[in-house]
Amino acid sequence: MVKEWDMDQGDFERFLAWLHPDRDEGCMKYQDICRRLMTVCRARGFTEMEAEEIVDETINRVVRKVPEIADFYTGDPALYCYGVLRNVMHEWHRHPTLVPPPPPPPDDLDQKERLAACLDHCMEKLSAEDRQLVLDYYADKGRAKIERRRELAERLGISENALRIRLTRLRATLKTCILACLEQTP
Amino acid sequence: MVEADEKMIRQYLLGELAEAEMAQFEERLMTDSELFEMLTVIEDELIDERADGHLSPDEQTHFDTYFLSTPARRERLEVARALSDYAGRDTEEPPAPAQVIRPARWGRLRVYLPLAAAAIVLIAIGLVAWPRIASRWNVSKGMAALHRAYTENPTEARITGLDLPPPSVTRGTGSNKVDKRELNRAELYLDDAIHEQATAHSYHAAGRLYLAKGDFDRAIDYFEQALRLNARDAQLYSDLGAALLEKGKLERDEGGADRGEASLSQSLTHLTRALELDHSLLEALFNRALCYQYLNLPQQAQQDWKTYLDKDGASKWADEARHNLRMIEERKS
Repeated sequence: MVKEWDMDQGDFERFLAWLHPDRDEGCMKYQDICRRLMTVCRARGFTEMEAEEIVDETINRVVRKVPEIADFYTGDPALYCYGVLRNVMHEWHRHPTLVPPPPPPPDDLDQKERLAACLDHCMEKLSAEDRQLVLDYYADKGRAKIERRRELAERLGISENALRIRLTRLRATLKTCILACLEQTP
Repeated sequence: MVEADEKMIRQYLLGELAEAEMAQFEERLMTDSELFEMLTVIEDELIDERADGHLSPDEQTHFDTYFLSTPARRERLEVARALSDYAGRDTEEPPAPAQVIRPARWGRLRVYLPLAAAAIVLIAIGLVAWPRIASRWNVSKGMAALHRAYTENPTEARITGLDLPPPSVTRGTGSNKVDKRELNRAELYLDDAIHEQATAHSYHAAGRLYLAKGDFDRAIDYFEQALRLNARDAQLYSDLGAALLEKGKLERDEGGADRGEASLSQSLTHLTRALELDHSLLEALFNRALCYQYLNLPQQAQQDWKTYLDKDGASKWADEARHNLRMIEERKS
């Protein structure tokens, strides 16, 4: 599916210029488009590696097309990229598959302790305020969690959406820390 | 964010939209920043709800069969379960006496064991292996792009993992042409690698990128972060030494002979450490000889150049070593 094509620096510069007249802005727009395309691929059930390949091929095709379309295409370049992404995804003929349930956890005390120690370590790396926020939020389940979120937002004097975004960033920080810790722990 | 949008995001993530609705939604996702940010938030919340067992039966079916179709998402569910158990445990703990601020380590571990029991699934389904593979894959693509970006080594000091010939002009601005597109790709891949899993490996690769780009402070920052995770990697010490060496040279060029000494001294320390860990590491040996030269220690530099040439007599870097050695010997005579 992936076609070999030698793209030179000029092609890519034209692509960036098409995204934005300012080169730095063009680079940022390029990265932003890639993130969004990756998100669409993930939502469509592609693995990280497949998504990388698909987005790579999409950008290659768009870069190649820019000399033809730059003068008359008036829409948002992100939408053009999305259109090309759809074509590339169709070529993969890939759909999410049913997954078997995960196997039962092995009874490995060392592994358990490693993980417990990593979680301990990562929670302690958060600021006291962030740690408390995570604990407060995760202390409830289901509907109570939503109620708790409202209370927490009020207590912090921020909107509920701002709190949700903050929690999402905290989860990402924790996940990164836990995985790094697990990898480094012998 | 209106409620209808939130509902649509949930339906989109769970694969409940028809193809035409999905396409329409994705078009909005490409241009609407608020929608894009909320998608990440709602994705997390869906995972939390699944971890708590609070999805409706229909949603749970869609979640398990559609949403959980990739390893990355399965790992996120396990992290959510771990967090939920952690918080549950924490709130169940009886209040500690005021004078005992922190329980003993083993006591804490015992508290977290049930949490670990739930979260161990994460290891069973490849949580440990998968992000490492994905991150390494990004690093590998990033390093390949970085290699393609240059025709010659971008710095006078050698960078590990970049198998490039020495710069044709080693002082001042060389003739090295940079493929900026490949450089941008490298930056994107390496940024993703760190985002996916911040490891010594991914920090090290990002440091190499910034060293190649001449952003020495940033490179040093990444190398130091990598060292905090792995303090026994000879290549890492060699590259940190290279970044400090280039920084020291720059400081000296900008501020006269007295400047740059601190950076060069630190460089020497790291390069020596690299050679203690791996005495056959050619990059570290080459860089230390260079560092001695800039520190005006010709005898030590001469010794390192000779040792280098004993180990590598044929490459283009060996030609550089011979050239430097000849210069030292000419100055002596």
